[in-house]
Amino acid sequence: MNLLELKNCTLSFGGLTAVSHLNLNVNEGELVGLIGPNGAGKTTVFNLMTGIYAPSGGDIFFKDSSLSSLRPSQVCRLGVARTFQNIRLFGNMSVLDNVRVAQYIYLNRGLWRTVLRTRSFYEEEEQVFKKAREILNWVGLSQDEADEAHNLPYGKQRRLEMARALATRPHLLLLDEPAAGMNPFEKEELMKLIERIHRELKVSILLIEHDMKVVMGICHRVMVMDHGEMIAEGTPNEVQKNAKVIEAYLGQQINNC
Amino acid sequence: MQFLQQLINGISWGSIYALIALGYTMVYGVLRLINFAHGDIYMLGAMFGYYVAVFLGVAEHASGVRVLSVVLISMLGCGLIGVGIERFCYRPLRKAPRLAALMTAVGVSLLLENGGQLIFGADPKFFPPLIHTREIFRFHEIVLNNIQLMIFAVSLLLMFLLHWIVMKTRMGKAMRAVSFSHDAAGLVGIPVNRVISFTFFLGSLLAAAAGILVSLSNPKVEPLMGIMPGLKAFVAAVLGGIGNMMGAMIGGLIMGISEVLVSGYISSTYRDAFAFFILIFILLYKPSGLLGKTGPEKL
Amino acid sequence: MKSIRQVLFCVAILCFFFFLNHFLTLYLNPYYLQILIYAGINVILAISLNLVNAQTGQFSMGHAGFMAVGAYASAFFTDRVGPLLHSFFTHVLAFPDFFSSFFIFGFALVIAGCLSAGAGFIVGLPVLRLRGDYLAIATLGFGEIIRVMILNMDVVGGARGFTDIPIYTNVFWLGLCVYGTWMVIGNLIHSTKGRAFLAIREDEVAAECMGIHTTKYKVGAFVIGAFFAGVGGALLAHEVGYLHTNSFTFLRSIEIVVMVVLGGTSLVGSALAAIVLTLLPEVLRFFSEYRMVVYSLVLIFLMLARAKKWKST
Ligand SMILES: Nc1ncnc2c1ncn2[C@@H]1O[C@H](COP(=O)(O)OP(=O)(O)O)[C@@H](O)[C@H]1O
Ligand SMILES: [Mg+2]
Repeated sequence: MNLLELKNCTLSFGGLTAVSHLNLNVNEGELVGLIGPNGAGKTTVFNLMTGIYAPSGGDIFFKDSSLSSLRPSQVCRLGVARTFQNIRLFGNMSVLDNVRVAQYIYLNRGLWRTVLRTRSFYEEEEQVFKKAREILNWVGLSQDEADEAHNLPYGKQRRLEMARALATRPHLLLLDEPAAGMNPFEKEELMKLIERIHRELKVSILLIEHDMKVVMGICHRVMVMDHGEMIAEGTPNEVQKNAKVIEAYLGQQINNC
Repeated sequence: MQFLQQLINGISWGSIYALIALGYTMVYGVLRLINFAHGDIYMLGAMFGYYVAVFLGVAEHASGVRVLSVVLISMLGCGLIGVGIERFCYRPLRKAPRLAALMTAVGVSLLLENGGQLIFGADPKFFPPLIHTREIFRFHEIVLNNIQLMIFAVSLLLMFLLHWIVMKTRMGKAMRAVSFSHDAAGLVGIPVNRVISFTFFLGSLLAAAAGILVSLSNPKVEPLMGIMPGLKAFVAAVLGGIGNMMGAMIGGLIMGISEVLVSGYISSTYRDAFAFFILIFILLYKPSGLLGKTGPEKL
Repeated sequence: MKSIRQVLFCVAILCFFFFLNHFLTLYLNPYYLQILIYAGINVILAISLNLVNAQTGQFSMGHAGFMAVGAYASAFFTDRVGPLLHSFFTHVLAFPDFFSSFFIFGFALVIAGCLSAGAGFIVGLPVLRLRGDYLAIATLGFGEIIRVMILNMDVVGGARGFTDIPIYTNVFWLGLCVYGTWMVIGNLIHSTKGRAFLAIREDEVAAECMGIHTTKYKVGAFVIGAFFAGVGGALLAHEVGYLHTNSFTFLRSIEIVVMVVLGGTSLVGSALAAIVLTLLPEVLRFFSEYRMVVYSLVLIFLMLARAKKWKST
C-alpha cells in the first residue's frame, strides 16, 4: 500500500529547477533508498515532503491526504519525521531535552496547567521523561543524556538526530545522509540501527545516502535522481547496472569504501 | 504653491539623508552590519565643525580658506573616528552573530551620545554662520535660498565623487569584491581589513559633511542631534535596498520629501513615526528594498 | 486535596506580601522603599524580556512600547473609571476603602497586562516573520510608533503628560507581580511544553519539523512578554503618579535589553542584573551622571568579551 506519494512535483529556485515533474512513492513498511549525485535535488525532495517548501506544481500525498499546503509541524503530526543532512540539533540543550521536546505533539496539558503545575502536568512530564530515556537507551545514548548536544562527537550527534525524530513516533522516517562523515565501524553500527528501527518499530524509512555499501546493504528498493528527475528505480542490483545511472555518476566517483 | 516650497525643503533634507544613508549602505555592503552609531558620526561632524570654527574665529572673519578648513578638519576627524570604531569595536566581532555586532553598534551609539553630553555639555551650541543666507530665487511665496541650493549641490557632488571612487578606482573595486565575499576577496590578495577601514572612512566623511551642511541652515548643534536623522537615513537605506548605493540616494530623497509632506499635511508629531512606518512596511513586504535583489533563503 | 492546598498556598502568599508591605512601610525609610519598588519593576521587565530575547531567541528592542501601553491604560482606568468604581464599591456595596482600592488596582493591572498583550499580538504577528537584526530594528520601530501614537492621544494628556495618577503601587502589589511573573515564566520554561521556546531559539526549522508551531510560539512568547511589560508599566505609573511618553523611548527598551544581555540566559541572571543596574546609580553617587555611559560600555565590553567564544566556533 502507498504510504507517501509525490505526483508530478516541481519546485524551482529562481531559474534553477531543483525538482522537476517528479513522481515517487514509498510503500507501507518499506526501507527505500534515494540516491543521486550531489545537487540532484534529494534534500529538496525531503524539504517538499516535510512542508518546508510548497511545490509549485503537482501534489504530495501521505496516507491519501495532501501535504502540499501544510506547515512542517502539521506534517510532523501526521507522522512524518526527518533528520537533516547538515545536523540541526538543539545545540545548547541537553541530549535528554532534545528528545523530550520532540514529544511536543503528544502533550495534552495546556499552558495553564503547565504554569499552575497541576498533578496531571507532573504525570505527563513523567511519561515524557520515561519515553525519552527509553528512546535514548534504544539508540545507545543513555550515557550521554546530560551532555549538551553540541558537545557530542559527530557520530553521536547523528544518532541523536535519529532519536529526536523517533520521539515524534513517526510512521515514515526520512533520513538525509545519516552516514556522512562516519568511519566504517560507525557506518556498520548505523546500518544495524536503521534496520532495527525498521524491523522493531515498524517504521517505514526513506534513506538518502551516498555510500553505496550502506544503500546496497539495507535497502529493498532504490530510486535514483539526477537534475531533479527520477532516472531509474529498482532493486539495488538492477540500479547498479543501469546505464543512465552509471552515466549520471560518471565523473563523480561512486563511493565504494 | 505651498507644495512646491515643501518640495524644496524636502529635497534639501533628502540630500542630507542620502549622504548619511550612503554610509549605512556601504558598511552594510562590506560587513552586513547595521552601523547604529553612524548617525552619531554625523553629530560629531557638526560638533567638530563648531569647535574648529570657533577656534579659527570664523564668525569674525569668514574667509574661504577658513571655511574650507572647518569642513576638511571635521571630516577628517570623523573619518578617523569611524575607522577607530571599526577597528576596536566591530573587527573583534567579525565572526560573531550579526545580532551581537548590532548590539555593539547600539552600545557605541549610546556611548557617543552620552559621552558627547558629558564632554560637550548637553545644551545646544550655535554654529557660527559660515555663509550668510541669501535668497536666490523667489516666486510668490516660494523661496529658494543659497544654503538650500548649496546643500543640494554639495551632496550631489559628493555622491558623484563617491560613485567614481567605487566604480573606477582600485580601492572601489576592492570594496565591491569584499562586499561580495570576504574569503574570496582575501584569496585573490585583497587586503580585506584595509578595505573595510577605508569603507568606514569614506562613510564617516560623508556623514560629517552632512552634519556641517545641516548646521548651515539649522545652527543648533547638540549631542543627541544624530539620533533621528541617523534612524531616518537608515530607513532611507533600507527603502532603497540596503547595500545598494543608488538606492540609498533615491531612498534619502524619498524620505526627505515624504517626511516634509507628512508634517505639512498630516501632523508634525507623526513626522518621526512616519519613518518607522515606512521601515516596517518595507521590511515586511519588500525587505530587499526598491532596488535590491533577493534570493530564497538556503537551508 | 491538591486544590485545597493550592488555595491555602495562595492565601499564604497574599498574607505574606500583605504583612511584608506593612512591615516595610513602617520600618524602611521611603527613599529605600522607592528604590526597592523600582528594582522590582525592573525585575519584572527584565524577566519578561528574557522570555522573548533570551529563551525564544527573538531579539526585541521594543519593550518600552508595551510598557507604555500598560502604564497609560492602567492610569486611564484608575484615574477616570476608578472614582466611579470607588463610589460604587463604598456606597452601594459598602466595602471598606481598603478593599475598594484593592479591586480597582487589581483590575487596572489586569487591564494593563491584557491591553499590552493585545498590542504584543498585533505587533508580533507580522514582525516575527523577520529575524535577527531586522527583527530588532522593526521592534524598535514599533515601540516608537506606539509611543508617538500615545503622544497624539489627547485623552491621556498627549504632550502635556498624564498627571495626578493615584499612587497605588506598594510592596504588596509589587511582590505579587514579581512573584506572578517569575512563576508563570519560570514554570513555563522549565517544562516540556516550554522547552519549545528554547528549541525555537536553537533551530527554528528543526523545531518546526518536530511538530512545534513556531509562529504560534514566537507570537506567544511576545504576547506573554508584552503582558508582563504592561504590568510593569502599570506599577511604574502608580508609583510615580505622572506619565510622559519621553520615559518610553527606545532608550528605555535598550536599558532592559542591557539587563537581559548582562544577566545571561537564565531568569535569575536577568533579575540580578536588573537589581544591580537599579541600585548602582543610587549606591554610587557619581554613577547617576554617567549612567547611560556605563550602560553603553557594559554593552560593548560584554559583546567583546564574548567574541572569543564566537571566534572558536
Ligand atoms: N534554498 C535554495 N535556494 C536556491 N537553490 C537551492 C536551494 N536549495 C537547494 N538549491 C539548489 O537545488 C539543487 C538541489 O539541491 P539539493 O536538493 O540540496 O541536492 P542534493 O541533496 O541532492 O545534493 C542544488 O543545485 C542546490 O544548489
Ligand atoms: Mg542533500
